[in-house]
Amino acid sequence: MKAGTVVRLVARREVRERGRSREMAVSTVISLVVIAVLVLVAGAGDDGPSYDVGTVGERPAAVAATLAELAGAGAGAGDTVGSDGTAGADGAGEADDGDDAADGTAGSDGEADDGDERVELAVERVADRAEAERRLADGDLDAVLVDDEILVEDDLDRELESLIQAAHREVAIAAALADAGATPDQVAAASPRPLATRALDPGADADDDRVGLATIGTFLLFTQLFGFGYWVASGIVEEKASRVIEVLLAKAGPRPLLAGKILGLGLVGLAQLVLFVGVGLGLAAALGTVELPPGTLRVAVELIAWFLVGFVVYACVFAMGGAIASRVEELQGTTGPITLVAMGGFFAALAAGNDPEGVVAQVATFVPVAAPMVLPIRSAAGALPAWQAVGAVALVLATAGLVVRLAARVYAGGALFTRGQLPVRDALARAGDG
Amino acid sequence: MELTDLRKRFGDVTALDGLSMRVEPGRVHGFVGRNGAGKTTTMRIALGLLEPDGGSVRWRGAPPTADDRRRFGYMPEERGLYPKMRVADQVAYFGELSGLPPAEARDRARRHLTDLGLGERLADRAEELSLGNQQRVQLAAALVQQPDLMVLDEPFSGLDPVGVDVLAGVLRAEVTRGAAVVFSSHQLDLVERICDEVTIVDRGRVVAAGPIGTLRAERARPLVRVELEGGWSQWAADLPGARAARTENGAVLVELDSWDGEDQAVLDAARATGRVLRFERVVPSLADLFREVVQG
Repeated sequence: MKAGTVVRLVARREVRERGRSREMAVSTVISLVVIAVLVLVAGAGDDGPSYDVGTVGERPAAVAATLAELAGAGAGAGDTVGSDGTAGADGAGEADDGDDAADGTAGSDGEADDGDERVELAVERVADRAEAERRLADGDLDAVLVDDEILVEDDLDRELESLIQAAHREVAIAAALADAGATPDQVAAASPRPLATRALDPGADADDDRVGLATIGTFLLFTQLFGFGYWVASGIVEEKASRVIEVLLAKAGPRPLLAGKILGLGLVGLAQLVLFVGVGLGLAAALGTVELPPGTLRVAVELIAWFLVGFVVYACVFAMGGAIASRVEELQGTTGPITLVAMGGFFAALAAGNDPEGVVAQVATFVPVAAPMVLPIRSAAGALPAWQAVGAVALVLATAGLVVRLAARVYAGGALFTRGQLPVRDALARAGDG
Repeated sequence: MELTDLRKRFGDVTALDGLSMRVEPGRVHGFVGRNGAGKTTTMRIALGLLEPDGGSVRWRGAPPTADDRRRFGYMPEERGLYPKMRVADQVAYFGELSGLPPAEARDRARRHLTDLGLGERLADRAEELSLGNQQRVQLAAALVQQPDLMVLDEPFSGLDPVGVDVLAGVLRAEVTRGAAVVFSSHQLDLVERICDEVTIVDRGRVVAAGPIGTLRAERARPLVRVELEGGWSQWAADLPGARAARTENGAVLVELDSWDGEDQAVLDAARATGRVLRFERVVPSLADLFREVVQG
């Protein structure tokens, strides 16, 4: 029988037994729920602020009408250019609130493709001041315009304030112009269309979004590398503790046995990762809650490719952790250092998300246990020079080749050692020429 | 299978110190020795799980190839099963690893398990079975590819009398089919009953080997059993020439240096004491033999 046949048989057993295990079903369901919640929550967070404003009397009602126009009418600006919709409603802005207005508020530019905030505003008439006070206290309304005042419960949202002040000025100017005998056209000209915003680097926002997606993806990648790596270790210990390993080694060499185990668990991990990524992106696309930046697919493909390479490295290191332990209880001790390294790699990836060209990101690119998690993020940020990408891939592949051999030896040497914990050096020595 | 001058050290511990033995097809071979005598190490070397430091393993005259090894059935001491895997699946899996085509492996797994009385438990996980039944599953896993050589490490430990009979019957059937069977055990009465041949090891060396009947006759010291009316035994304490005496079920067992008249002297001494109910030569049991060769 060829080694390939053994690899296939062992891998098939892992896929079948792990694939239909309860742990697998539970972890898949939990992860899918978390992903679904993330997509929904991320979508909810994308909605702009919403305000309920009341008015008492006629003039406040006129202000409120303009206010509603300002909040909704930024739409007019949307089809001009701006990806960073603003509708800087207050052309003449006083110094103190000018900033707020410019910070892109009212402009609910509906067609924006990068998740701009939209202000939702509901306006209603309130009978009198007493009623207004009661409803503010109830939390029904955020603000009520009464004569020359804005009534609020405790403080007024700055964004809403600048909107109201702008509407107030516009109504006052229009009234003054009308009093001075201006034609309706002249009055209209006094409230110009909001200024359009033209982005100098429109892609930067998409980069940020891609990095965000890649970071979530890297978290998934980390859990897959770590979780399935640990399963390699615990699978080996299970075989040692039950002495199945003796029966297996009597039939086949340690290398195809180990290769089959890593391949089988890797396939299950890959299938789960593809499922998670697919469901996450599919939900986001279907519900429209999260805007997917251009290049999303590339990020996903790179993540999955990095799982394949990274898993070989992690699985082999975990296999050594499993081979030198005799019982499941000892696994924590033997795989502890690997856990720390994996966490370090993940934190390096987070650092790379903050600063894709920073020192941490650059150094971690050339650390084989961190690279699989760091590179997808740097690549998504567009901050990965080709030479670094090639170098990192070459380094990780070389490391994989090395740890495969090392793991096979430690596995062979530790396989029959079933009392206590075996030092790695002894495991290598026991492997003999194997 | 022929093992020649096997040597193996683990650190400072010498596990095997020039061990040689031979296992023939068509024979049930018992492998006995104290704990730590080197039985499991020998089996692991024979199966290719361990490399010896010195010596050789030959199967049908040549070092066993990977394909030969797949035709060996092995049952390690206790367990040797995936706890959470369904029993029919795992027996079939071991069959496939031994080179059986998938359909045949499944078929034989079902048949062997059914023959061993586990027909109703095929879809159960191993951990759901009693220890005795788990041992039957292990046995099925070792049998599934119709091995040329079966190696079993302590297969009888923990079995009830019915289980012992079932296993003994299976081993007998395997040697009848032409396989060679070797198993280790501490239960010397069982070995004596089931085996054709025995190898006794002590401290990594063979101290006695051969057909059990021959060994018992050749290697044991002369021994007589004397039973007196009333169970008297004091008389034997100062017998001239007798090496040792002990009582057993009211009779006295006396070890002699030789058969040259000493047995008659013992009989005379006994008759001088009282009425002799029984006087007989004793062929020592395997346990007696074991005690003798291993004590040294």
